[in-house]
Formats: sequence, C-alpha cells, structure tokens
Amino acid sequence: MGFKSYVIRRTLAGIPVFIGLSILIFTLARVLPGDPARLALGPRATDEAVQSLRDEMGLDDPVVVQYFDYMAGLLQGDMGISLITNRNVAADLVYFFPATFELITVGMLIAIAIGVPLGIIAGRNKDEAEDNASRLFAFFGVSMPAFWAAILLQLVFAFHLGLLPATGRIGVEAPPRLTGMMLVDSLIAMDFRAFRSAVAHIALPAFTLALAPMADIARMTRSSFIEELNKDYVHALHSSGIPGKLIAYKYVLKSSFAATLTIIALDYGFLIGSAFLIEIVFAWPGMARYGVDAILANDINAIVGVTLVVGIVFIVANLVVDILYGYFDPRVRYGGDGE
Amino acid sequence: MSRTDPILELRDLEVHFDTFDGRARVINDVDITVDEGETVAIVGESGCGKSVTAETIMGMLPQPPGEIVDGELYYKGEELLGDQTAHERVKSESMGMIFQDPMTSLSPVFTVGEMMRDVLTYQGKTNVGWLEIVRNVLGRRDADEAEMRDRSVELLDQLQIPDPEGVLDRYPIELSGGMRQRVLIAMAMLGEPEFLIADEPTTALDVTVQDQILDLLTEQIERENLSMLYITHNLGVARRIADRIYVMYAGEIAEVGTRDEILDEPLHPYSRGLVDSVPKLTEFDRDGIEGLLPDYTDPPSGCRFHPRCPAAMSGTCDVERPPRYELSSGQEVACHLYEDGLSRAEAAEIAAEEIEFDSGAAFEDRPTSEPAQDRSSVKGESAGTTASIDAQTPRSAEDTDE
Ligand code: SF4
Repeated sequence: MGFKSYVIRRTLAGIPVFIGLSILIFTLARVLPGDPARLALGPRATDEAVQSLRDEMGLDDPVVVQYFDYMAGLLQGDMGISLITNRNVAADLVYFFPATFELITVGMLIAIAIGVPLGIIAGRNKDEAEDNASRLFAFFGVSMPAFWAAILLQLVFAFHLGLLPATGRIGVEAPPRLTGMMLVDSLIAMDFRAFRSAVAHIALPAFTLALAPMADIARMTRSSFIEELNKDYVHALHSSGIPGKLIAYKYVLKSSFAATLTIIALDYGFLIGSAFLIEIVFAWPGMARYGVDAILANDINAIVGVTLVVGIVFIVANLVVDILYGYFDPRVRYGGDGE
Repeated sequence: MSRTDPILELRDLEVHFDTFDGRARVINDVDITVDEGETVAIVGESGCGKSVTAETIMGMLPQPPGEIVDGELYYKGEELLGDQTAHERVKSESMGMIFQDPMTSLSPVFTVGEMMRDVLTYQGKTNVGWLEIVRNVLGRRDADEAEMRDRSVELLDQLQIPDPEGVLDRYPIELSGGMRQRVLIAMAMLGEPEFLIADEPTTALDVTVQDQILDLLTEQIERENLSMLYITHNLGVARRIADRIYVMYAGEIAEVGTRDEILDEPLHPYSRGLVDSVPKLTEFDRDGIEGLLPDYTDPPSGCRFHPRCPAAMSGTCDVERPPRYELSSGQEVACHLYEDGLSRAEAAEIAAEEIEFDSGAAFEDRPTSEPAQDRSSVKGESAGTTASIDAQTPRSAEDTDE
C-alpha cells in the first residue's frame, strides 16, 4: 500500500463530496423566492413570454429532473444561460474565475512564504524577542479587518509612495489570453514588461489577502514546532550526532508541517470569501462582482455556477492538502483513510 | 576484572532544579567512574536521579530548570562540564545513547535508512550550513551512498533484524517495538562510539523481547569492546549486564561494588532492602523529570535514607551525612554502620546484625508517625500504590508493544 494508492483513494473520496455539494447548492438555488424568468424579462413582459422562458429553462419540471438536466449539461460544459450577461455561465466563469484564482493563489503563497518561516523562528526562539515580535505581528494579522488593511496599504504604497498601482490587473497592453491568469499568460508570451506590470498590480491585493492566513500559519507552525522540538526523537537524533539545525529544519519541520497544512487548506477555502471583498476594493476584475450581481439579480444559473466553483476550490484545496499530508506523514498513509 | 584507567569519571556532581516549590537539590555529590571496557549499572527507583545523571553526562540536561551547581566530568582525562564545545565534540565523536522508549525515539516521518544516512553523514559535525540543509532536504545523494547503506545493513544484520535492506526503506511505524529498539541500538552504534549510555532501554518492551535486546546489546559491547553506563531500576537486568553497580537513593550514591558484592551481600540498608526481601517499592512515573519533584526541596537532614531506614541511629543518622566508607575490598558504602578499612566479612556481619526489615515490609508506606518519610521519598511514593522491584527477572512490562 504505497503513496500512489493513497492518492487515488483520496481523489475518489472527493467525488461523493462534490455530488453532495452540487445537490445542496442546486436545491437551495431552486427554492429561493422570486421568479427568475420574470426577473430576467422585466415587469412589462407578457405572461406568455415569461411562461415560455420558464419552459425553456425547465423551471416547471420536478427539481430532481432539473438537477439531472443540469448535471448532464455540466458534463458537457453547459451551465445554463446567465440572465444578466446572456452568455453561458460556464463561459462567464472561465472568463472571471482565473483572475480570482490567481489572486488567492498568489495570496496563499505569500502567506506560506512568510508565515512558515515566521512560525519557525518564533518556535526556535520560544519566549525570546523574535518570538514576541512574530506573535505581535500574528495578532495584528488576525485582528485587522481585510478591507481596512487594504485601504491602508493603498494609501501608503499607491498614494503616498507611489510604488504600486492601487487598482486593476495590468497597466500595459495585456498579453494574449490563454489561461486567464496575467502572470502565467505574460510569461507564456515572454512579455516581461506585462509580467512586471502584472506583478506590481497583484502585489497589494494579494498581500492584503495574505495577512490573515499568514498569521494563522505562523501561529500554527510555531506551536506545532515547539511541540515537536520536545519529542524524544529529537533528543535521540541529537545524541546520535545529527546537528541540531538539521534536526530542526528537516525532522521537526516535516513532522510539524502536517498541522500547518490543515490550516492552509482551511484558509485557502476562506480566501475565496475574503477575495470577494478585496476584489471590490482593488477593482480586481474577478468573480466577485459577477457573483454579487448574480445574487442581486436572482440570476439562478450564475449563482449556482459561482457557488459551485467556490465549493470546488474548497474540495480541491482539501484534496491537495490530504495528499500532501500523506506525503509528509507516513502514519496517515498507513492509518487507513487518514481522517 | 582488572581496573584500568577510567574512560569516564564524574566527580562531585551536584544538580539543582528550580521548581515551583523552591530549589530542588536533586543530585547531591555523586561520583561515578566507568573504566575502559567496563559496564556499570546505576540502579535505583525512578526519581532517584539516575536519569538526571545520564542527561548530565550526555550534555542533555534541560537548563533551566536544571543547573549543574558543582562537579566535573572527565572523559579520558578531558574535563567536559566546563567546556560546552568540548562536550559536544566528545559526545558526537565518542558517545552513544540508547533511549528508553523505542516508540517515540525515532522520527515518525522519515525512513530508518534516511535517519541512519544522516547519522553517518553528519556524525562529528556540530554545525551545518543552510546550503547543506537545503540540499539534504531536497534529497541529495552522496557518492558514498552505497557505502553508507552497506554499513547500515551490516549493523542491522548484526542486531539480527530480518531483511535489513527492506527495513532501511520502512518507516518506524511499520516496525514492532523490539525491532525499533534494535534500530535505535544500531543508530547509537553507527557513530562507532567508545562509550554508551543506556537509559532503561528495555523497560518499554515485553519480557521475551527484553531478553533478546539485552543479549544483542551485550554482544555489541563485547564485539566493539565498549564501555557502558546502564541505567535501570531492575536488578535482574543489572545482574545480567553489569560488572559494577552503583546503587542510588534520593540523588546520592548509597553503595558501590562489583555486581556480586552488591547483589549477593549488599551492605547499605537501602540496597539490602532492594535485594534481600521482596521489597515493596512504589511504582513510579517513569518520564517525569526528577527535578520537578517537590521532595528534593527539603531533603531529610543527615542520611537521606534515615526516615525509612530500619537501622537508623538517632543522633547520628539524622544529623550527620554519612561519608562513603571504603572497605578493604574496595566496596564503598555510604552508611554510618560501617567504617573505612573493614573487611567484607566484618561488614557483612554488621549488616546481618543491624539491618532487619520487619517481614520484608521495609518499603511500605509508614503510618503518619513518620511524616519525614514522604519528604525523603520520590514522587508517587506517598500516593500509596505499591509494586515490587523484582530481584531476579526483568519486570514484566505493562506497557508493551502498542
Ligand atoms: S546512615 Fe543511618 S540511616 Fe543512613 S542508611 Fe546507614 S544506618 Fe540507615
């Protein structure tokens, strides 16, 4: 029973979660009050027109039938027509989601890149100045509201210092769209001017987004690091001649990373939530405005689509972390399903 | 057994711990000598300070709360307690340690082979650079990889681990307790130490496995002509493995002698109690740091054993600390019943006359008429639970394999 079978098992376990999630989201959307067809056509539309749209959308079918129709469509990349954009929701999401995905991923990478070392430094120097400083920082990160941090950062870096742009995704001509992620697209196009501009534009929103998970990660890394440092095997390895620094950064870090991973998975999912806010503050053309508009307009297909994407991000983040978990800690692999 | 130069000499060790109840004087004036090629056992209840002694020798004493107030440690004539760099160097070059609990003493997230490889790569180095750490973590393989593997396999094989090649690629969780302890011994042997400290390495294992481990350990000791300090609460184990025995009580050396002297005709009332009858000693908490025990903050005056001693002489034992008297045979005993230069026969006579335990109940909790007893004893003893130290066979472990 190796790592490969563990990965396959975890991946398959994600499928029923997805199905459950889709049923839940779909049903909830259908029981929302209001008639989507009427809303779409406006108050002056005739009853026949509304009725024919209802027929077209299948709104009078039983929910079960509607669900299976929807899932069948989904498998072919058809998520229904958005009532506001009049395009297929799938096309809308393909258009808007990459920007959001890029933002939260860069945000999470920043959070990890700063949070983990911060936690380790604090853990290795427990109760000393380094530790206190990093705890203070973590405290701020957790307690500062994201929109406030966003405005503060905009003021300082964009307005006063003029170092970074305050809004938007890119300041030069955008590279040809392939993945929808500016950083990746500009690299593929080998357009380094665009890349630099994209980096400058994503810096502030991503950093703002990173603050809260960064603090979480630092705290978790610190406490599990301290816990691991006191384990017997640390003394044993030390006494058999392995230098303390290597023990700390190889053995202890790997053992303690499992706890950090859990936090990362959770936070990654939550980032999509905070991203909605950050996107609006930084005028980031992601899923946020699309989602908000969909909700306001009771644009049923768009709501389901956006929610489903958020759910999938959650599921995939957890899956990736589960797999990493198994990589970092063999006990998980051998302990059955690892829960 | 011919006495040669000591490989390790601990002199006048005094270790205190800062506790919530005040300063605990845990180790009081302890001297231990281990000669080249000799196996010495320290025997005593848990909490008597034997693990603290081992930690001091290995430079692993947590400081604070511990503090080495006094004492010198000579390894082949080189003083170590005053020179941390020297201590680190000697430790990584010449000393090896085998730990108590094989379940927790191996990293759960790396394979046996990976750990052994790191031991072989880094032994003797006290520091590594960042670049080296990154390269290591990224899985760098050296040119002498195969060589290291061979060496590891050879050692695992010597410790009679079946399929040593396969074990190298396994995680500790895939191995039984006995196998893990063998791996731990192999890891301690990898650095080719001259001196081993074993801290109750068989306690966590079940009885048959204990026997095998002891055999394997003895075999290693003999093959490599190692010196060893073996810490145990189990007299049966001490009988099997030790050349000489130190009996420790409450942070002091009560008696020192050859294995046969101590086990056949102990002189100190405490050792007599241990060996003679089937003394009832309190079951102990094995992983607590002794220094956290409040009892040491106010140890009994005079002989620390006097509140429990059947031969205690009031006016002497509770006032004056007994020095270690040396008999003509070389046996040493810290007890006012004896004096320097006695022959063994004379001493044995005194012991037989003076020390009498009422029906083997010497170590039972006394009623409250002797309140000082609680203070002199170790954590848990006053709780009243009793268990025996078995004089002949290894104690059957309750906490066996998983
Ligand atoms: S010195 Fe006195 S109290 Fe101490 S062991 Fe000897 S006889 Fe007992």
